[in-house]
Amino acid sequence: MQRSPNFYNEMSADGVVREHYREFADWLAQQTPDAIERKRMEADLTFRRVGITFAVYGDNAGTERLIPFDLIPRIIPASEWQQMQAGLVQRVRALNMFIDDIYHEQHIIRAGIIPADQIYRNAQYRPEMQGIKVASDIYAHIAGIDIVRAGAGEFYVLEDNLRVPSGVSYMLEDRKMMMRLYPELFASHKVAPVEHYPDMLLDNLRSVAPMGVLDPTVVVMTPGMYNSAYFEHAFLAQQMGVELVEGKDLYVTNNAVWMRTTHGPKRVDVIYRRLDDDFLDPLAFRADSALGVPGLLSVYRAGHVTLANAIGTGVADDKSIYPYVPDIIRFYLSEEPILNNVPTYQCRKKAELDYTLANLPDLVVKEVHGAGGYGMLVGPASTKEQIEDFRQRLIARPDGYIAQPTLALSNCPTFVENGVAPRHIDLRPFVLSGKNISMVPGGLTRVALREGSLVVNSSQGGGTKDTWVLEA
Amino acid sequence: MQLSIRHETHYSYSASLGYTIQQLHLSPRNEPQQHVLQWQLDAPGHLHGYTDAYGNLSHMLTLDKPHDNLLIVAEGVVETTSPYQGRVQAKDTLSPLVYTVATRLTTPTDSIRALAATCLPSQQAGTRDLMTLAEHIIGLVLYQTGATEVSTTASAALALGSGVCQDHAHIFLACCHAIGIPARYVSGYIDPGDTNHAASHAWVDAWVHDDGFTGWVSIDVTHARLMTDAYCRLAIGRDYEAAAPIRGIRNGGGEESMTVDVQIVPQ
Amino acid sequence: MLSRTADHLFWMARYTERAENTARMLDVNVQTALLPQSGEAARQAWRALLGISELQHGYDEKHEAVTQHDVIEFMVCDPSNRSSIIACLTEARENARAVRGTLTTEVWEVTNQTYLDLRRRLHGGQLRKDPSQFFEWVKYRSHLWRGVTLGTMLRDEAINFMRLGTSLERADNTARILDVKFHGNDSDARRDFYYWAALLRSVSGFEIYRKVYRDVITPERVAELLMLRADMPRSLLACMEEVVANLRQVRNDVSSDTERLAGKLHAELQFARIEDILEAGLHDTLTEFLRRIYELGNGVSRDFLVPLAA
Repeated sequence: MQRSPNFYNEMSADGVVREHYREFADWLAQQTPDAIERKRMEADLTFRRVGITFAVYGDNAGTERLIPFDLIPRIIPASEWQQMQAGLVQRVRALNMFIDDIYHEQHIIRAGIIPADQIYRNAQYRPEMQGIKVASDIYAHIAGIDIVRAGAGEFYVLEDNLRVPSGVSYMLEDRKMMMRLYPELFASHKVAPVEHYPDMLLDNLRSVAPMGVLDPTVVVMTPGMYNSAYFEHAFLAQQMGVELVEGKDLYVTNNAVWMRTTHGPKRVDVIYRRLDDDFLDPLAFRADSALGVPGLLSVYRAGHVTLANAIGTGVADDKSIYPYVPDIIRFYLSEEPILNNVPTYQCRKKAELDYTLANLPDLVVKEVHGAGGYGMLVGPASTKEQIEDFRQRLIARPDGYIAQPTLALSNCPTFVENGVAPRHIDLRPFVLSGKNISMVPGGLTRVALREGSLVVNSSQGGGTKDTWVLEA
Repeated sequence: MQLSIRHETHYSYSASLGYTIQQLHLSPRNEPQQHVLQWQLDAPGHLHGYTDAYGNLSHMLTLDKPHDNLLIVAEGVVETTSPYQGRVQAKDTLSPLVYTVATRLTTPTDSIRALAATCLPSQQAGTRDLMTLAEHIIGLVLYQTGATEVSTTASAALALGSGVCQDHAHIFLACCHAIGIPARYVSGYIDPGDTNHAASHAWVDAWVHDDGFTGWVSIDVTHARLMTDAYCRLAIGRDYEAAAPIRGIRNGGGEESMTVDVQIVPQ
Repeated sequence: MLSRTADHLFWMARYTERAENTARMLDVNVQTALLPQSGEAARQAWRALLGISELQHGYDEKHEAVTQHDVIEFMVCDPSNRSSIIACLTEARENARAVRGTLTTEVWEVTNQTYLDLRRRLHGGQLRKDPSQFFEWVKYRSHLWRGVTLGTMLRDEAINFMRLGTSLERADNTARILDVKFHGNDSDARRDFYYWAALLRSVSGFEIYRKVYRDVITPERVAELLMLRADMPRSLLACMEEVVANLRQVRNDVSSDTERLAGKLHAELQFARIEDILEAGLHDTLTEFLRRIYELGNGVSRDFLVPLAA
């Protein structure tokens, strides 16, 4: 196993295997490369049969691309998870209170903590939601919080995903695969189970049904089979035992939402929607959307249907609000944040802009309203020219950018061409909010498969690992 | 002024259709300068009323039985007064900042920005500046029906050089957005008087900084004048799509033909 | 279940059945073309086949003359011909893809594999070298599909709508084949035997005929077997029994008219006598039957699925 002196290695420190990895390291040492290879192929074949692929149904030739699955799990000891879980509960609770406040009294704006224009001019702020009462005052029923470990081993929240977070199906299928391939490992390790996620999700969704509905009808709403996350939509619907619908299966009449079934219209009470706000209702949002249900917003406003996640959660999860989250936690909960943000410099503030301009070669600068990739500068990986070019852009429009120090992301041993080598990882736990805030232990671990790469996205060469939270 | 209004919209289809949904903003807003003496909305199917986030009195009409035509009639009497210096208090809870955000129809382009720069000195513009903008717009964009459609953007209409009140309003809004001045679309009725101008009309509200007053002022761009008691306001929003009197979707029905008749009689 | 899901299952079944029946029809013609006959008679036979699915016009637009080779090309690999085998199997697969979540893995894989293999076979030129073997393959894949659906899928509405699709399509196609074969008859006695034998084989009815009638093949008995015998799996009556049974399983608040239509049609076939049908006119009877099957299909769409008119 290689040593990476500058990065926190999940498995070992200074060549000594960490306690929670010892059992596994011993087991790994006894596996032959051939045996591993056979298991890898078995995993591939099974994933293909199940259909858990990326851009699953888009190819006419019938070939589908797999997201690479690495056999070495990412193991987290119970104590670390305890801490992370408490931090996640706190953060998601505060974020939900924030969203509720924004769409009602707006105390946080009045208190001067967040400038009004950060909210109102945010494209994800939906004026249509102003004043609407949502079930249990919960907006982000499903939150995917991206966490990285950096430096000497501290955890940081990299990003909050409160709109349509995805990836949980990989978490579940990875666990299923590991248990199938290596049942002996689950005998020798006390791995906290995750299989009950769909049950938890269904329970949460049912708990936020409109008032007075005794046996709510829940559906999963998908944009359709050409969406790259379609597998997950179909998977979750099937695991929860609910219908998978597209916009065209639903219609609004008499102030309710109905599903077209072979037994006539059936009223729908809770919609777990995997579409962006913009496409939900052509009468309220994008008029050209054929994926939504005309009139859906009016039924939502009347409280006759619940949407999970609510419309307008994006006001809380973009990069312009991210720097305020620690203050948001303090404001609503009067507590200090348990999980830290990555230190962030808002270039809209003069002092922070000055700092950023002075330290461009060492920083990562991101567009506030971008999707990473274009409009991002990774200082240490850029040429002088690129840095100068970016400097001009920054000076022209400073309030469009935030800057963060480059993080030394932790890495985890991963199977590569020539054996095992460290690769950078992150973690996305899925936090459920309904009658209470809950989650299954762990989450989706994504791994950057290219050496040195920090990019874990599956569309850009990333893979996944099973995440093990060890029970105490 | 007391305005007696009757607004009839009739859709007919070449084939029977099974489902229609229409979003209606056909009830005059509840505002200090207009008082609804009586108002009635008549339509088939299910009609559900609500107040939306912009304070518009809205209805969602759904018809899920086979039909081949649809008649919607709104009528009543409204008592209007002329707002002093065009100032309106719309009693909505939304921050004016909400109306600085452009939509697809009101996205500023270079030509829009150039036009805005000639008339609007800064974010803090007065009524005089905004009226100048209106005069410029109608000079550049001649009133002509049929040249544009409901989906025409502000920049396209400006490039075309002709349009209707909806286009004048959108261009005005886009110019305001370019500078960061809150401005919103208003749809409603106008008493055409002796002209043969249509009774359905679109104009704007803009956020002004005048001596002694900061707030919304209502401006009829097409006539380059402040709103008077000859106007009745139905709905406000960021653009036509948000405030349109009738907007809907149907399943089937073949070819659609629509007739609209608005009668407005001062009493 | 969702109307749209049922709709996809219904059409997946119809298209699979249509592909199989096209293969059967083409195979009959290929077999009978081997018999001694005039060039004109052969051409008539191929023209009649085009007439079964009302495709003469579409064919004439693309081809100069009626030849075995060209008709087979048109009916097998021309994607612009919506009744061609390739068009049907592509549609079947597209419909399966849309509801992959409701199908078992086996059903999806069989449907998908049929589609992929078809392309390979056509590329490999099997159609030209040995058309009968190609048609056998199509039939076999359809049998396999049916077996895997009935064998692996949950016995819920999904099966009912697939059976409805299969039965309506089969009834329609069988009536068409019968109509054309009877219409395009000439009186050469020796040709009669091979002619009818080929027709019977195309509906897998040759051995059944022998079992049921134990006598020479006559056109009247062929018609009776294919229309009125419930024990002949591909007969119109057997198809209507399936339609009635499956409609009963899925009945809803608005389907009683459609159920009644189906019930009436079934009862008429059940109590008909072939003598009366032949006297009234086979062609007229079959034309009327086709009209009613078409209406039934529309009724099913309207009551349960995605109405075609929308």
